[in-house]
Amino acid sequence: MKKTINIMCVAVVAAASLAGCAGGPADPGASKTATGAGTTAYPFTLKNCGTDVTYQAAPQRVVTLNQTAAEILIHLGVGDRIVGSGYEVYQVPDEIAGPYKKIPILSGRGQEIKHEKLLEAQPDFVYSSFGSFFTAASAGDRAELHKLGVPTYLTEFDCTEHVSVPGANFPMMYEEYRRLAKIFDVPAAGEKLAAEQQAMIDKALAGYRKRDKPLKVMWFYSTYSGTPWAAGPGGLPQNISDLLGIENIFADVSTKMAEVSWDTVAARDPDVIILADLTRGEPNDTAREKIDLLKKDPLTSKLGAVTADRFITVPGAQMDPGYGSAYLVPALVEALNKLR
Amino acid sequence: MSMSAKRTVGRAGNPGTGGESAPARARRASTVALFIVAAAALLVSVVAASLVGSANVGPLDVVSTILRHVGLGGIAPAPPLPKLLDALIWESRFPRVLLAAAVGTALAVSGAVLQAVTRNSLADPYLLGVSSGASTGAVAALLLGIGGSVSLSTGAFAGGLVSFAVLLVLLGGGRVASPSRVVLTGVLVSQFFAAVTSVILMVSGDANSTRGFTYWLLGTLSGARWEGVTVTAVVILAGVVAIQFFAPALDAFTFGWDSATALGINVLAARVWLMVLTSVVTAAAVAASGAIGFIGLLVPHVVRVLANPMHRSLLPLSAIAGAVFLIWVDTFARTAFSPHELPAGVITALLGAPAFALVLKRLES
Repeated sequence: MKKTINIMCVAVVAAASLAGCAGGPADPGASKTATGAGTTAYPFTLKNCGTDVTYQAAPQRVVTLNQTAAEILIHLGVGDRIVGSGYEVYQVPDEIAGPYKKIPILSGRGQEIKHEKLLEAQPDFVYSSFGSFFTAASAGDRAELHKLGVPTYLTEFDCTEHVSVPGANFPMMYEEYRRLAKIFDVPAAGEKLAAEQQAMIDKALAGYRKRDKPLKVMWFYSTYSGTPWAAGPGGLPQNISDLLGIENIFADVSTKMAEVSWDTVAARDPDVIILADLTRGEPNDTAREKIDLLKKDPLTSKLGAVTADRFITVPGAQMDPGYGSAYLVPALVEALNKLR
Repeated sequence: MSMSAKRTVGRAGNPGTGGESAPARARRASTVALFIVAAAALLVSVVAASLVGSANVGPLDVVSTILRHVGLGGIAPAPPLPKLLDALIWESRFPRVLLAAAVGTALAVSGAVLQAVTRNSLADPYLLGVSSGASTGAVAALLLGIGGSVSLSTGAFAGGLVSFAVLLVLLGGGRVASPSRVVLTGVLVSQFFAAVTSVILMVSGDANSTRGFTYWLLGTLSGARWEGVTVTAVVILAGVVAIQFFAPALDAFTFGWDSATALGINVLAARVWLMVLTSVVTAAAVAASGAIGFIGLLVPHVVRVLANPMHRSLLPLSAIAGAVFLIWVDTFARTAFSPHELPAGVITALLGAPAFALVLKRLES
């Protein structure tokens, strides 16, 4: 029954979004955005996730395959060049609600953009924060899009889904901002965004009271059919753990997001559980549901962190590499400082 | 695929009979008419299904794009589309429609053959575990890298062949098994290979491939592109044409192995060849789309009701009807809840399960 309702909702959203983009594809190049504001010399080639991609001109019709990709472009001041976005999974932050709400959404909530919808939007650039969206069955293969003359950018954090990226850290995120700023010929905006986020992180760390003995934490992302998924090494959660001098109890697993077991969690007995508050619409997404789950289960209810309510709730989408990730640092600093 | 329906009557069906009876003539006429209708329906379906999709492209633009690519640009009623919209139609939507046609053909013909070879009207490559075996082979080839460069389709073929052989061995070689025994053996084979597939997925442990495969195992045509479609279609077409040569043997099987031998059929050779051909055809379909169920059950039964049940006409009619059926199922799957997409296998199962119940009821009465 629930499934039916979900499907109905998707259909309604689809109808609404179709109505929203009625009138067919707009004239390519109709964007009013001024180009040449910066200093980028076109064409230029970047090595991105092992592929050489050539950018012929500043993109004017962009499709972002997921929400935080759109968020980053809006913060770089080129949100008005986005002609379609997808994989909406969280509440739009107020500061970008205006520009974001103008973007046509090409997929159902929590769904990926399909190849046909992507091509219909006639993009001249496609940007994704998830490698899994660049496949033939989803938005399309990167090589396929390049052959059609559509350059792409895939975050270096997720060249291959779930695979740990050695040395993944915030400077890598800033490099992504700079590279996108270069692609869009707005280099100053990339520098500015990188500097702002680094300043925010520095400020938070300055006020952090580090413990002598590192706290053991579990980054609890999601759970399906009983097994939890937790952040492993090679992603921003690991980098944040290192910055804060806390110990990720799953720093030894093989992927940056790993399916683990409650037995292992119990054996490693975390001092604190960081809960990803997700809003994708999947079971046990919200922090509230996760806490209920932990307290009800005979095994997990006996964990020290659970009996003492040592939970820290963070917006789940921020655990994926994106604009919001930097905000995890001040949030965790505040929560950990309070924790005694 | 025009067949001479003339020779079908009075061969294995009622040997020794001279001229045609009135009902036989009427049936022959209706079979010829059905061929014409089926061929027209296939053509119309291919074009009509290409017109609809999650993207809004006008029907004239779609038709013009296809005409232009098949070298008939001169009669195209609309100007060329921008590059990406052209690719949307010609590189993505159109090959997907053709893949649906090829896979539908493969599964329907495999179903008809399996029903004759197992002498059981409840046979279908999915229900008998051949699809499941092909999936296991494909997953094993890809994830475990068995044999180094063994590709997905070769793995699927090997898996299909092994599961078919296991099925026939469990059914007791040449003996005629009861329908319930055939179906239960199919369940067993299917469950066993599904379990092997799960083990391989778990052991290889890569969440990325696991998720992709889970969707593929449900049976989906999304992600179809020319490269894969061409190979799949050629293999399936060749297999289906080859199977056609065994039409008399398949007819003779209806009367049991002894009668078939008496009619001059080399039963063992025919069964081995049919097993290999069905595995090839099913494997090609599974490699391209995962395991889509029930088409092999549904289509031949409907064709038998409407037309001459002799295999000379049953096989090609099932081939066309299977193509038309899967084209529309997949069109529904990709457009009904757009932009959300359903796996085609889910819809065929929704339609197929009641059909299975109906056939079962008819068998009992």
